[in-house]
Amino acid sequence: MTDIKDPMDGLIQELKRGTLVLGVLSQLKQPFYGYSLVEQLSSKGMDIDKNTLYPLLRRLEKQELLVSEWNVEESRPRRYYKLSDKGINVLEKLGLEWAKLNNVIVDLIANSEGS
Amino acid sequence: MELIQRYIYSIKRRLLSSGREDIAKEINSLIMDELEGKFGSKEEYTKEQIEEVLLEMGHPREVAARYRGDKQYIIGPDVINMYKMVLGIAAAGTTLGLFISFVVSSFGVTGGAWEVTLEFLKLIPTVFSALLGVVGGVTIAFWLIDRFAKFDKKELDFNEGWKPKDLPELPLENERVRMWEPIVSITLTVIFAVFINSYASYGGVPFVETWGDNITILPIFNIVALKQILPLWNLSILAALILQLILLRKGKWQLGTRIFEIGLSLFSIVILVVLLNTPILISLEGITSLFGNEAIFAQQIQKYYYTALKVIIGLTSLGALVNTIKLIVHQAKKANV
Repeated sequence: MTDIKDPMDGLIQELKRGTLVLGVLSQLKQPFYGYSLVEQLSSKGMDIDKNTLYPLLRRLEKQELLVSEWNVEESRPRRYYKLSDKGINVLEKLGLEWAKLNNVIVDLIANSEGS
Repeated sequence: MELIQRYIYSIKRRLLSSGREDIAKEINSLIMDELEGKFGSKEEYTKEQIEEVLLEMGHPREVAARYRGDKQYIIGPDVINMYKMVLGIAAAGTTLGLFISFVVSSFGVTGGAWEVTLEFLKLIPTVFSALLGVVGGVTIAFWLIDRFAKFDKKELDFNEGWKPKDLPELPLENERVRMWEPIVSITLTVIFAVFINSYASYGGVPFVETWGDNITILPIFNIVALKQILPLWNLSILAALILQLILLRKGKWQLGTRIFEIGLSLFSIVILVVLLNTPILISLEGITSLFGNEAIFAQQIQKYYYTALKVIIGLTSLGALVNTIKLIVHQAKKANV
């Protein structure tokens, strides 16, 4: 019997990678700093590698989908990220795309033996 | 906490200067969050606790690479294959050129195999430093091509919407450049450039007329005349190499390269005219020693040399003229189609 564990790991990772941005954007209607965002996503069932998330936040900011600012009022300075206007717009469109894609995939899988 | 500073420093030195301080500040804040999340809020953390968090964050090299984002490279994927090929040709050409110089110069060594071996050993560092120069020169040239030469970039830019009608037209038979043509030209030009420059810098490679008891060393070139013409010669060699590189890249002759070629011919005429007004490039000393004291023969050589130069000037001018007329006719035909 062939061991499917190895290709599975890679495939699941690939699948998750595609949904990463959408997951992150969906939570940033309110401001989060890196660590708290990891906790937030994890509490909702999306485990994300911190080392991937932190640079991703900066990239999304560079693409003007997020805005950030340093909060110095707490015990230590922390950088908070939240959606920009452009980010809100993109999130909305990505959400629609995701819903469409989800329907298609669900339908494809459900009817995979019918055709 | 010193460990954290060392970690951040290791990341910082791998980052581009823009945004470096900001990223460092953020990573510091993230490490502190991790420590706090794992071990609770404290003033100080133990070395083991800090090490655990840093190991989780990853090697500074990886962290820096993730923050840098896009791959950093000097030679882009568009030209990397051609870069490797030209580098190979230039390196082989340089080594061969120096080896030919060595063979020619070793004729002049009087003595046994040991002296020749010694000369050969001297060749190794020369080849090494020449190769470093070649790698540097070719890399700089390709960096410039990659950054500033826009030829065919559009065609390779997959992000730009492209139309099949924009695909380059198949070259006509008389416009086509076969792959081996520029490769042979580049190789020969590099060998010639290395030979001529090493000859000038070593103060002349001697040539031996006879072996045995009667050894006569004959220089090939007049070193003073050679050094006078060398900067111009090198410039034309460089221009010729650029032309061949473009031809290799494009695979066909175009208006720009045709004009470039005509320009190169005009430049060659300038060099020939300069040669006409400088002392003879061939070493008369060598000729005189070859034929004893027959000074008349040397004079004859000098006369033929300048006549030959004039003939070459004439032929090159004719060639440039023919090329220009052909180009004008070709363009006119194209305009009428």
